[in-house]
Parts: sequence; structure tokens; C-alpha cells
Amino acid sequence: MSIFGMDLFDVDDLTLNDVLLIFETAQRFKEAGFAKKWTSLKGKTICTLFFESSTRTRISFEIAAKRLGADVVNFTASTSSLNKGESFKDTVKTLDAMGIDLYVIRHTEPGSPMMLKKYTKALVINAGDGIRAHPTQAILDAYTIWERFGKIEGLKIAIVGDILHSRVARSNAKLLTMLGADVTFVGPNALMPMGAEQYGIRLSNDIEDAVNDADVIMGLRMQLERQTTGFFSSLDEYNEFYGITPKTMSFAKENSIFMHPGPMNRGVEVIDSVSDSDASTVEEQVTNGVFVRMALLYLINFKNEVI
Amino acid sequence: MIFDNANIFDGERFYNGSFAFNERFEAQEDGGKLNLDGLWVLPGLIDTHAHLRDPGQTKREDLLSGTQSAVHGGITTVFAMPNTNPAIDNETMVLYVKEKAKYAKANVKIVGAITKGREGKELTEMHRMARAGVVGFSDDGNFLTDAFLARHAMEYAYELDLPIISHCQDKDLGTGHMREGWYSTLYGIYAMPDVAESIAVSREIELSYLTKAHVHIAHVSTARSVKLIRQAKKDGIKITCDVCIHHLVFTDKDLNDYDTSKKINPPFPTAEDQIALYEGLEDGTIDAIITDHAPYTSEEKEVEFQSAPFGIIGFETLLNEILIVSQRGVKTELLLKKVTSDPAKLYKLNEGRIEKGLPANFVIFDPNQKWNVSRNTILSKSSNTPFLNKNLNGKVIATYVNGRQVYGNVESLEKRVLHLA
Repeated sequence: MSIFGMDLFDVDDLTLNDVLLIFETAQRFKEAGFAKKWTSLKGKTICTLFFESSTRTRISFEIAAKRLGADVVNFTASTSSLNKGESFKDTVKTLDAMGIDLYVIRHTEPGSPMMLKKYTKALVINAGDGIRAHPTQAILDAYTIWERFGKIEGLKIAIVGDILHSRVARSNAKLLTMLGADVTFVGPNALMPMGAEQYGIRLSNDIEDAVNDADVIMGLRMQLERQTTGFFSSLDEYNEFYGITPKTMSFAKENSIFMHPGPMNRGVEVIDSVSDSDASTVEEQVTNGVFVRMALLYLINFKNEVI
Repeated sequence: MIFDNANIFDGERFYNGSFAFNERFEAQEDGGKLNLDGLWVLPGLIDTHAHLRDPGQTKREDLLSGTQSAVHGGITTVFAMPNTNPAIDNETMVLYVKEKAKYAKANVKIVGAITKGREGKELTEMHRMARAGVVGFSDDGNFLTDAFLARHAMEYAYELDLPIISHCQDKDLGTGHMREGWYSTLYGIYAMPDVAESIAVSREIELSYLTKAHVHIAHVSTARSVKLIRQAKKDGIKITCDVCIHHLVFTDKDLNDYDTSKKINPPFPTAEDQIALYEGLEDGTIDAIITDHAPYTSEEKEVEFQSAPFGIIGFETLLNEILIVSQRGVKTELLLKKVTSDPAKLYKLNEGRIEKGLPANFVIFDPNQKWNVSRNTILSKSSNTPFLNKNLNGKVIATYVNGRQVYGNVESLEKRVLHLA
């Protein structure tokens, strides 16, 4: 099996072999380094279609696509296209009429990549749809873990924070359990989505218990506006009971790592002495993001040719 | 003309027989016989919860298109909810809609608003609307959060011997776009918990106890609501309820394609809640099945799931959906009763049965014929149905209101005239 010619809506579109192929391909791109330019996607036009603000994901995709020789156009709408009077459908149809080969879409609405697919024959990669899925973030997270530990199976991984509003947590729960990890969601119940144990993971309100003997501690961005909407009382209290501190890390395994999809709220979900420590893989995740996205773009456009 | 050899459902049970009619069902005399072998004859269906969008939202539907759609589905009496623009919240509006509905294909009964503009602030002139002939009062999609006003509205409704029809949904908990649960987590859709409904149901039960008013809970969708209503009925409180046909067919899991034609309020139940709805029908807790026919234009519906309005059309697929539910093990007779004789009893309507002396409202239905639901075959102005471009089992052949054929192909019926006296 290969992922040639397929759309990526979420990680469960992939098989175990697909994921390993992406890992190996990303590793080869990484070994070749940033300086190496490729021509695989020469003549292809890739459109980043961002209905929700983002810098790192959009830039990461843009760098990945350009490194493979593609032409990249960026469409950004500050708010939902609806508010501008033009429907999502018309926006897509307009762009599609200009000959796009592949869309990378980020949207506040769950299901929007599938909706996009209704209006286009081009390939679609989901770069985050509402609180539903963020498959490329999950793949690059898994790649980072795989690279560090040489395996994922059997690792103990705690994902900590605002799970309810996190597409990263959702895609990671699917992918990491598929790869055989032992995953726990940690956070206050008010920020835990209903029925999440059905991912085949554990849920915990006790961060010290959950990170006990963990290999990976993954923080999530707390969206600060939640404070005024009744999800928790103060950032200060939240940090005291759910923030990731050196003390938290001390319960984890000795060679454990701290991950974060970014952007971080320093002093809220994590404090500097953790995020800037040697255990932190935050910048490595960003670097790996480019190579993983190169691997994806490459494999989606080409049959199993080894680079 | 005598309709002969039909599989007649008289409002209670099926039997093979014949019947005659003019404006009303009559005694059989000699005359031409039309052989309806293999076809069902049902009392005209009664849908006690629908949105005809007239006046003010006639891009979606109007009284004529809405009732054309109704009779295409075998529905001969429709309750029009007052969430029009302007709202049906005074006597003049009621009389206006009634006058306009004279030209409609089906009987239209009007539900008046409880508060002016359905804003939940000031009571409407309920006595005057009752004089104009409303069949009940409802603020429809807006739950009346002010319990003080709700109490007084019920007190008036009690005096007028009319029901309050209540859309039960807690204002603060009842936000979101589907039922909260594993599937809302999986699909990443903001969701409302089941108790958003049952909390409001319990308030209505308490107020009905206080005021003795008949409170009818619209479209119950959760096991907990059914449980509360079952107990309230046992306690002798005057509570009744209905369920939307779509909630008997679909569950929250079915939203996996983000089809905005599956977005409805209350949202589709979980599979467990759906079983409780079947049980509620079987033990009589649930009194009627409704369509909650809610037309929206494709422009309104072809947007992102969470931006789309709530509502599904339902008239034309009601009998098809009843067949789907009956195949899952709920008795066909029970389901048919819930759209004929039971709502007639509930709202004291002199119809819903095939019986000498009653208005000749009936449907001829072929349970074995398929039809393709498409923009070309739907008679509603809107096509926001999950069945769009699908084939469904069962087709209405003809519909009669007061003995007059309002839908159907006369020729195809006449081909069935096998023997004349």
C-alpha cells in the first residue's frame, strides 16, 4: 500500500505501514539536510488555504512544498469566509478554477477538508479543522518520538492540558495508540471531552500520577479566552495544579522528553525551566515538521519511489 | 366509487376490505369498484409539528408548496408552528394564515406563540388567538426560560383547554451542534449534553403539576426525558410528548459525513437514547410521531456544519422512515397509529381513522414501490433531507382530503379498475 494519490483528512486514513513509510522518507529528507533542493514537485501548484490564523503550520508547509520544487500560493482569510459574504463553496470554486493540484487547508470548522473535497478534484491535506483533527502535527509528533526512542510501541505518553479544545490531542490519541503507545489524557474534567476513553487510552485528573514513569509528556496550548467562559477560574490556579514544572518532570522517567505543539503560553501550561531544558523537543518538533510534511507531499504525489 | 380489496389500516389495525366515500366515509352502495390489491389505505396522516415558513420565509417554503409536499407524503393535516416572520403571535396573524391556508392542499392548523415575537418577554393575547382557532401555544424553537411567564402562560392554556407545546432545552447547556458523547468527541463538533433537554422537561412537569395545564413536550430525544415523562404520567400529571421521525432513524454516529441536512435540534440521539425512544413508543409514553418539517434553502445549508441552521424536511419521507423503523422491530401498526389516530385523540381532532362519518382523508400507499428522492421528485421548495439522491421503499400513490384527490396520478389508479358493477 502507498499513500499515493490520497487525501489526508485524519491519521486514521493511514495504515501502520503508511506511517512507517512516512517516517523513513522524512528521515532521508532530514539526512539530506535543509540545504538540499529537490525537483519532485516541479510544475505542481499547492495552495495553502487558511481560514484560521496560523504561522508555523502554514510556513512549515510552504517551506516543505518549495523545497520539493512546487509553486505555492497562500490564501488566508482572517475570519470564516461566511462573514465576508462569500461562501466557502465559492471561495474554493474560484481557486479551483485557477488550476490548483493540492490544497493544504486549515479551518475553524470540523469536517471542512471533506467539504472542500466535494468541490475539487485536487488532493486535500488537512492542516487542522476546528477541534477535530490535525494529522500532520500528530505524524510529526510521532516521528519525533520515534526518532528519539527508536520505537513507539510500549512507551508511556501523557498528554496534558486543554484536551477538550485540542485537535492535536485527538489526532495524537488515534495515531499513538495505533502505534502501540500507552496514552493518558491529563487535565481537569471540565476540559476533558466526553467518552475519550474510547480512543483506547486512560484519563486522569492527577498529573503526578499520570506522568509517573512516563516517557513523553506533551503539553497543549491553553486557549486563554477559555478563562472567561467558565472552564476554569484562574491561570494561576491552573498552572499550580495542571502546569508542567520540573517537579512534574521528576516523576517521569529519567530520559523522558517534553513536547509541545506550540505556540506555548509560558507560565500557564508549562514553565520556562521545562520548555527550555534539555528534555524539551519543542524546536526539534518544528524542524521535523518540515521534513515530515516533505515526506507526505512527496509520497502523495509519487508512487513508492525511494528518494 | 368503492375502493375494494385494499389493505386498510383504520387507525388501529390492518384488515382487508373495501370502503366508499364522498366528502366523508360512507356506507357502501352499488357502483364501480376499484381494486386496490397490494396497496395500503391509511387515514390521512396528521403531522402536529411542522414549519411552513409562511409568511416571511417563503424562499424556503410557503403554504402551498408546504402542503403540496405534505400530501405527497400522505399527510392531510399539518400543524404550522408560529416561528414565521412576523411570528404568529396575535389574532389577526392567525386569521390571516387561516385565510391563506384555504387554498392549501392539506388542512392547516395553527399553533400560536406564547410570547410576543417569541422573545420570551411578554405574553401574547392567548384568549383572542384561541377564539381565532389555534390548536395550541408554543414559542417553538425558543424554550421559555422565564418560569414566571411560563407558569402564567400555562394558567391561560388551562382555562382555554389548549396545550402548551414546549421545545425543552436549557439555554446555557443547550448550545452546540450535536449530542455530546463519544461521537461529538470523535467528530470534533461542539455538542450539547442530554440533560440540556431533561432539565427543561423536568421544569415543565413541575409547572404542569402546579397549573394543571396540558403540557406537550415536543420532539423528545433522550432516555432521561422519556423516563421523566413516563413517571409524570404515572403521577397523573397532564404531560404528553412526541418524537421526531428522524430521531427514530438516525443517531449521532451518522454525522460522520458532516452533512448539514442531518443537523437538527434537538440533535440526533445516541444509539442508547434511540432504544429508549422505541421503548417510549411501545409503552405509550410517547403519544405521537412528528416530522418537524423544517425547510432551508440550499444556500443556507451549503455551509460549514457548525454554521448551518438546524432543520430537516420530513413530510415526503415520513412513511418511508416509518417502514425503516418497523424493519428494526417496532410494530408497523403502532408507528402508523402515532401519525393518525393517536395525534387525533391528543388534539381532539375529528379525523385520523377510516370510519363512516369522518372526513374522507386517506392515503393510498404502495409499500413495494421505490422512489428516488431528488430535487425533481421533492415537492417542497427545499431539499434539505439526508435521503437526497437515495432510493426509498414505499411510495404514496394518491392522497385524498375531504374526498377530493389532492395528490396522485388518477390514470395509474384507474388502470386498477378491474371490474365494474
